[in-house]
Amino acid sequence: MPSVRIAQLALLATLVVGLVALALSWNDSRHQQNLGVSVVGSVATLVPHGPELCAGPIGLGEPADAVTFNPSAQPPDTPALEVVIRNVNTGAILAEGGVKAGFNPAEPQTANLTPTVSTAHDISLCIRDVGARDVSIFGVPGGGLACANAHGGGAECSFGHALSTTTTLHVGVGGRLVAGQISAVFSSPPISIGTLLRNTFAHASLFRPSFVGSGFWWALLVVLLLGVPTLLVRSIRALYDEDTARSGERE
Amino acid sequence: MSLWEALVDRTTRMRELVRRAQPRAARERTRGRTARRGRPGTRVPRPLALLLVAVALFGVAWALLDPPFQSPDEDVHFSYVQTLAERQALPGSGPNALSDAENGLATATGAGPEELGAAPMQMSTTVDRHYLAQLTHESQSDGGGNNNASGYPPAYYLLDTLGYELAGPQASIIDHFYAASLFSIVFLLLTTIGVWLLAGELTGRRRELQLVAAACVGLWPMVTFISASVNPDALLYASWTWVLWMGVVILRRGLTARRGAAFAGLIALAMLTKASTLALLPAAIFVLAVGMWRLRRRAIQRALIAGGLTLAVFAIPVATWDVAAHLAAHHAGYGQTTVITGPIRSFNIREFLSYVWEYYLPRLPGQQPHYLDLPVISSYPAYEVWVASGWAAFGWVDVWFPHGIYPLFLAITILVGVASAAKLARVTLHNRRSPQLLAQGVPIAIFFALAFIVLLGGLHLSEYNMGGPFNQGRYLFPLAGLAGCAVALALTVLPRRLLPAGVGVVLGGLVVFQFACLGLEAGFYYA
Repeated sequence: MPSVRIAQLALLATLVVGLVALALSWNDSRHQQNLGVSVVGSVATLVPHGPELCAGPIGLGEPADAVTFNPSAQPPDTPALEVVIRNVNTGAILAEGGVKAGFNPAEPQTANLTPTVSTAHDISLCIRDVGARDVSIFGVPGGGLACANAHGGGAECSFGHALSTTTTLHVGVGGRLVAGQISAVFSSPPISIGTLLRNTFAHASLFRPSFVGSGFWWALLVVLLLGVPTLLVRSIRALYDEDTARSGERE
Repeated sequence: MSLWEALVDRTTRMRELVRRAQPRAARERTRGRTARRGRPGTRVPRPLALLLVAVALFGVAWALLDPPFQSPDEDVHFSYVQTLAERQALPGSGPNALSDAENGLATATGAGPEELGAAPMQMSTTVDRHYLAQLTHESQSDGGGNNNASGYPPAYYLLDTLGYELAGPQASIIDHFYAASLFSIVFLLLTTIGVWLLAGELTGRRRELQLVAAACVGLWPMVTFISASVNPDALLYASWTWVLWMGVVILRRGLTARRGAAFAGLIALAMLTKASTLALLPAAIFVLAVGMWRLRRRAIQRALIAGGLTLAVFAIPVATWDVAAHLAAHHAGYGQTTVITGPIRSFNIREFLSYVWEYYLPRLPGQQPHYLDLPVISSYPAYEVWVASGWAAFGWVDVWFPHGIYPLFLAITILVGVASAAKLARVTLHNRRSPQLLAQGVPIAIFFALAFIVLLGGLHLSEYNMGGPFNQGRYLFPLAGLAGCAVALALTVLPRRLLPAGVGVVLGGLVVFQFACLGLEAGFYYA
């Protein structure tokens, strides 16, 4: 078999095997959306059967059927927690869930939500202590209170002030603003790789020039998957053509 | 015959045999194609042209996929470009470190300074909607103050201003930012061309090795990632690669006034891009000294003219910038050098050597532990920094593959290193009596070694002086051209009949690696 064919086949075989391996290695079928907030310290402490802590508004990228957050209390009698997802504008309850008493305070806790929260409304995540002991909710504490009270002003204030968050997140306990942001991760039901790509491309079209939309990403994916291998296969062809031509010229 | 040409010679003989075995009609066809395309040397070789299109496509993907300011120090680098474009002034005198518009975009996308080290952001339609609603109210010209990049030399930023301006005078900061990122791909293409030329000079234009070397750099995801973001390293990689090429040209073919001027111009460009180019000067001085030494008997006047011109082409722009920086922005032109020279920490040679030892070798009994780096993949610094973060550490060095992948990267690195070293040793031994080895092979080896050792030494000195984590694998990328050539050289250990398959596997592997890294990036920010 000529060298050029061997090189081209080797390229295509490597490509196919590699891409199949990449596709098979994908096993993270649950979409996760976090609030971009680190777990640094206690943001607020909730008292038994006291006011609830609410953080919002949160714009979900995908429907969510669970939320994971970071409560901490004195073990072993850690209290049960009630989790409510509300419409941030009307306060209507969209979904409910909870964390059972006796949870491990060293680990993030997940509350399954019923029903699944849709993406139709901006939401707030509300947590209430329904046990017998105090519980702290963790995230990035402190800072930003003045900005949060300002309701506008600079760009930073427009976006939940300059803390490590990507949402316009304000945290309040019993309606009173708290300085800080809570850390939370929303999980979605398992999705197919096609849905994952569609969502990814939709998210990757935000904060982009106007010509970058989902269609652009699909087109680019096709060009990369088909165009680049074609270019390299032709490059190999040209390589050996050129070698032959150079030999011919020397003759 | 140089040690490299020994390789070429054998292949040329092989090609000749293949050519003679080819039917006459086929030879006529290829000759006809060559005549239509023009003579070699007057056109871009077709394999390179096709590779450049592939590199550009991946460059576009990286430029647009990466969220705003999510590559190292991209916020301050973009601020520099924005300051030049919007204020027509060097940064340093403006009212804010970053403009309102930049602060707004950074905050909205979770890339503000407070977000560093936080969990990855998720793009939110809510935030996008709120952001776009008030986008027009934010000024793009009220930045220009001091920040981490404001003391950098201006070459990259000035050139990237062209990209920024292409977005149009009324463009939003999003358009300006991505126009600047996309324009930076030009430097990625220049880097790729530089590696092609360098490999051509070293291998006697052995095309398959040129293609492999150039592809290894142009399609290397970390190189694409940095080069397709707003970062002066894009031009630094290109200019260093071209300097390496021109240095080899001078060492192989001799110093002339034109070559000297080109060499010096490229070094000056690199200096005006980033002060770390100081590490290239000993190697450059070596090339110039060898070139002039060889001319001394034949034409002392020519030697002096070539040397003088080289110095002038280098010194005039480099000194001009230093003066301009003092006058216009009231800072040193190459202020980054304070990382090494500044009195951050008193230098203790014993302590420094101990630190370097621990970087590469296991700690000895009784040896003081040094704070070397933040272990993500491994607590063994040489592996963590030079290998792991050189292969894949995106974002602000916070986007990594699962840890289990990196031993594979290490194994490939060792394999390539051993194979290329073995080949080099074999060819050197085979040609040990050849006068070409002393005349060309040894000077080229010294040139490369000086560039590598001084750069590596400077990086270690910087890190030691700072007393904390500083180095990243990408800091060695100015020498990426050598790495590309090493891969090409490693391929030649394969039996002759397997070489084409090796070329195909490397190219295919690079494309798969690109997809894996783009997928990693997309999953981290958007999935």
